[in-house]
Amino acid sequence: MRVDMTSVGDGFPDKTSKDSSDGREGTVRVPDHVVYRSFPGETVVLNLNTGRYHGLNPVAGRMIEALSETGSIEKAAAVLATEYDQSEERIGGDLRRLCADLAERGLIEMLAHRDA
Amino acid sequence: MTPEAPTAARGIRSNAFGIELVSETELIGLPASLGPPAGPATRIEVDESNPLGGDLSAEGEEVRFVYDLEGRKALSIRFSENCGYLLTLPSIGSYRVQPDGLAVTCIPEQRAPAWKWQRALVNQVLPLTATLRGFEVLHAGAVAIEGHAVALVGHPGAGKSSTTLNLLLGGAGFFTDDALALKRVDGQLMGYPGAAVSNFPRTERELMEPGAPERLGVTIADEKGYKSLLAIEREPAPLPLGAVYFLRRGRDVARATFEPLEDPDPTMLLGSSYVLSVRSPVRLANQLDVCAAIANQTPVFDLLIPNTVTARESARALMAHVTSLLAQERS
Repeated sequence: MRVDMTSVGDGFPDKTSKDSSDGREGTVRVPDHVVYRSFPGETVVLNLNTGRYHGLNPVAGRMIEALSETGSIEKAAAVLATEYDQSEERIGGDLRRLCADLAERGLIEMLAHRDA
Repeated sequence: MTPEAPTAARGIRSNAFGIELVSETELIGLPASLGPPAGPATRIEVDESNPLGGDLSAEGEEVRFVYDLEGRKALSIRFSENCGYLLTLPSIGSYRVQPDGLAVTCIPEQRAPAWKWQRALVNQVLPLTATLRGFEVLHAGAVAIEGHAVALVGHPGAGKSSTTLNLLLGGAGFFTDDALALKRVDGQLMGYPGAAVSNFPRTERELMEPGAPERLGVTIADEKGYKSLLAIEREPAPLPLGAVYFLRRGRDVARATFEPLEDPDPTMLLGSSYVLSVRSPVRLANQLDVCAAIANQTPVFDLLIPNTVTARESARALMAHVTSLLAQERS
């Protein structure tokens, strides 16, 4: 699945983030200073601390929604695997990469990290 | 002594951009309200003690400024957490807006004509005040058609005022000239009428049939001959937002052409804000919320207008389009 994220303007680190394998089974939350809204073609995530907007494609938009609803990568992967008819393993990999990207931009908080 | 019971704020009551207003004197574009107040009022006071409009330039941080064509600063907005917003328009006056938007103090320059500083009040100060009071203000003219507010968004010169005025001659109700206040109420996006004045470009006046300008309203002032300020009877109440049209000059079309935007670009909507100086987290979240509601709930169109088409012709096409759109939604 194509999971895309863009940010508006300069000043953010490159999107080339390391794979956060330590995020497996991690608990995540969308902090209070982050709001997101779905538009027909994308989800816009706003960091209220920086005033910066970020765009997520519809798949990534659904992912942040599932992460927010379930509070964990593992649970979100289970929900999304059913919705998209994909394996949990594959969805989990995409989620971990997205979470690393989001965390790097301060858009989610990884509250617990446990090695599998 | 018996303590006095709380009473409604004294003064002349009016409303614009969704907010209740109370002032000591009658102000241009703010006709008196008769019904019960819809919420706490913003008090407008006029301080005429300083003939130079106040030297307040050192206060707070400048968060926005606009230069005129001659390179002079035409508008400066400063903000400090304690004092709120301070808008300064050289030769016109200064305006203080309390951080919560519940009080506005106008400090007009003595030589500024009343209509000029009062126009700045309704054009610049009250939209900012409405933003502080929880409304999102779009840079758009709007008319009322069949119980809906219809918004016309466009860059300066795109023809918002001209198209709006021609829509009025075609039977639409006047809603707002250049700034449309919006708010989500029970999940529905509502538009709120602005001030009861409109700019009237001279070029448009000259194109109208004899008698048409007088049918629109009363001319309050004439500015350097290129535009005038018109007092117009305004729709009295909020209306659901029925449609949004982005006016663009279309070089490749022969007539006014409507293109539905199924997937409106969020940055286009966010960038259509009228108020750029309020950057608080609450406001930014509200702005995103309202823009998402426009994209998800409201029909949005590009309206491409070739240079050969007059505002009267494009208004006629627009009226037909809106009427057909609302009929489809009803069925």
